Amino acid sequence: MKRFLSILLSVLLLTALLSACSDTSSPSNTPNQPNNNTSSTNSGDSGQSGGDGNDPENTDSNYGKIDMDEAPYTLNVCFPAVGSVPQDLPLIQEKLNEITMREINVKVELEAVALFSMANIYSLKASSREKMDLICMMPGANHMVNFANSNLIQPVDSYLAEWGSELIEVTKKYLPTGQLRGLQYAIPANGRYRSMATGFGFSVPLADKHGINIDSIKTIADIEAAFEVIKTNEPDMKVIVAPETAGGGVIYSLYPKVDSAGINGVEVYTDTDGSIKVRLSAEQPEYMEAAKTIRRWFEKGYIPKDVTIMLDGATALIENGAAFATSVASIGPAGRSINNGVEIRHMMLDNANLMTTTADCQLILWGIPTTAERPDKSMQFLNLAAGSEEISNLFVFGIEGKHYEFADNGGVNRISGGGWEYYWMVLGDSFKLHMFDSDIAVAGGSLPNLVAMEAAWEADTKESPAFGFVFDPESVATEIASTNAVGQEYTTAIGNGAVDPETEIPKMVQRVYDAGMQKILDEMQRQLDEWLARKNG
Amino acid sequence: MDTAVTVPKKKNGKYNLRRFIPFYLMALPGLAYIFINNYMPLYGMQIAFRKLDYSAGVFNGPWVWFDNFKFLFQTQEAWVMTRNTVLYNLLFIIVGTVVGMTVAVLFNEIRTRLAQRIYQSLALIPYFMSMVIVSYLCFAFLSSDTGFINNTVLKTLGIEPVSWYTTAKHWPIILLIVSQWKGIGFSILMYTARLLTISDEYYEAATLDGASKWQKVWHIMLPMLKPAIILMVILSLGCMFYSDFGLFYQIPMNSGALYQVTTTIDVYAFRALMGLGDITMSSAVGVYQSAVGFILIIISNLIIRKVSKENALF
Repeated sequence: MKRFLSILLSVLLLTALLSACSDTSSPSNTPNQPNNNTSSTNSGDSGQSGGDGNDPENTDSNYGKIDMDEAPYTLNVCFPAVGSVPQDLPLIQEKLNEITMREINVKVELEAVALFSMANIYSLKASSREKMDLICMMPGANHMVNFANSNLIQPVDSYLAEWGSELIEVTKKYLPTGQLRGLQYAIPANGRYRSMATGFGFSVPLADKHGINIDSIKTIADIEAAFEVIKTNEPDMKVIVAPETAGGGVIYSLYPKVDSAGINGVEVYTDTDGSIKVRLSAEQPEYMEAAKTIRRWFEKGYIPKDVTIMLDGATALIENGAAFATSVASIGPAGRSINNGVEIRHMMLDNANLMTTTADCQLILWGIPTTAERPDKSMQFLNLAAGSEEISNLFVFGIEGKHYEFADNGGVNRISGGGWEYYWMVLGDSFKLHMFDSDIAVAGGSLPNLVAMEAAWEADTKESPAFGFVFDPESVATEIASTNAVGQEYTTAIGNGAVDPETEIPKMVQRVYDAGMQKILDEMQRQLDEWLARKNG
Repeated sequence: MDTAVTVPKKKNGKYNLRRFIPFYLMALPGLAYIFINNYMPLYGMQIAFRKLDYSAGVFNGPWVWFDNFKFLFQTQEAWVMTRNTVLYNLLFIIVGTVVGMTVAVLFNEIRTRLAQRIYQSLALIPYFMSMVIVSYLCFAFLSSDTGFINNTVLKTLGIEPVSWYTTAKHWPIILLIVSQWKGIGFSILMYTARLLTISDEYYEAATLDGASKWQKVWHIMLPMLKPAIILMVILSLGCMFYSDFGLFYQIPMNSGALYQVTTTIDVYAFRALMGLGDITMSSAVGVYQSAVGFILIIISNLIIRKVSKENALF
């Protein structure tokens, strides 16, 4: 026993020793210092910057001057990727460095981060203090507030004011979507159209095979007729599957788009008296109606029986001709997408709510970690990219002649097997981007037509009454964790019709209220009222 | 060899430790492993009581004490996962012991040595299989559209197909079957090893006295197996609060409709980390597991001390 005690004691002592080590080794955190230094030690003239006539940047005297004489700073930039990293990343990085070294005296080090484990990767990197200067959060609505509340990212107001002239110009009214408690924590990327609609996507080859005219599908009855044709002719086919990214399942194609203000299952709406309120989607009769329709589809066998454990991705199934339709959350003006040569045409129901929410604009947010050594350099890089046609195009399309080429109509085509295919518009300004040849083809083969289509789409889109409102969940974090745990149990099953909505929806509602939903709704209403008062008065 | 067994005492009554140095050296790698894997992480437990603050470093956030634990007890989550973990473990211990012992005794009756070896090796194969592979084997059985059970078994019997992955009530049985199928090879190995040590003289004497086969099992094999049984049960009791993550997460394929019967503490901790992305809250789950598991081991040890003192752990 004595020996046991002595071992225990030595273990405790060792632990204490370790803790002492880690306490002293944690670096002091003074993010503001480098910024002050640079601006004060700057000589008025900044060498050749802006001399190439490429991107005239920072000519406004209100903004800081970049020190081109100091040793170049290496900037670690994390961007999201799905699957393998495109093989030509080093080439893109080299090309990017040519520009950044010339313009802002920065050497960029691009790091691809797996989209689905993004939060874990960033938090691991931050806790181990690995180098990280600029992070892309996607979807930003899921990450920004949590990262801000745990001090993973820092407020960037001062850097934005000093170095962000182009950024402010490009992002304009969307900047508030990156704010929390009045501080700018993140910068939204400038997407071409911000609002995407929810609806259905149908496989064109299968529709053609069975003589279904997709353009004539307008209502739920039309959809069911089309499904029945497929089911009769191809009994083994999965008629409709929800993509794995849609936690809610097929139901989100039927229920109008809502502004959830960052909390699953909640929606902001305008009441009959014009006041803006929050409520639970699952309590609405329309939700029950949609759930019943989905249940009918499940029982008729349109939705695969094992939908709650779907092993294959929806897009992959459609590409391989194993499924006919899918739910789509990213319908844009083009109204279709092409995946590996299989065309998927999109369709919206009449109740589809074309609406821009805060979360839409938060899709891609850039944040500067608190562990970043030179936040000023991070901001300079973002600013440079926002004003640069070259960087914007480089990141999406790659290098001309190697990764893409121009078509006759002014659009571009990727060169297949070129080694760089990146789909998201994360860096720079999407209004400076080339257009895809195929997108132009949708608009009758002319670039102006496509631009007009997008303009019409924007015109049809209204803003959510809570646009710009960012909910701060800190005071109800416990309730959110509890209600999310309950939600996980039900949403996939209900949203895909795997269970009877008439018994399960009331059960779910009861359990989320038990888990503290009312407290969340009250807190959100309180913050929303405050935000509205500030906005209007 | 004899000198190592009879320990010479020094004058003052203390053992001469020098003689044991080689044995301690032998144990050193194992001890180092346990220290690194089981003791060093204890330091990290404090994260569960702090607010997450990356700018100060994860170990330097302000103390919030039990705030991170609240979400566990806000709903019945803590109760459900504790209940599932403990009940499944009890079930597995009881059924596992009975089934393992029975099959081992039956195996012992196989007279052809070669056949016995072959069966034993076959029974051991699932033990070395990854749960991910097992989950797909199960899927081949339980899949609603193409599964063996729905398509062949139930169809032949004229019973309506069951949507297995959304029907919670069948899962305690399914999980029990899978865990027994997977674990049986190992327990047979343990019990057979013990059975082989029983001298043939006992059986011969019993045969002379005219004992039946059943009487031999009841009066010779079972009493001889008792120490092995107790050891196995103690080993399982010590892990009472830990569940086989693969079994409870992979086999039901993380289907939400089954959470009420498949969520154990390990599974919940994993889902909490992946879903919340909050290190502090998910470590709170881990700390809860350790704390209750510690209490449980103390209690089970107390009980074992009462029943059979020489088998208690401490």
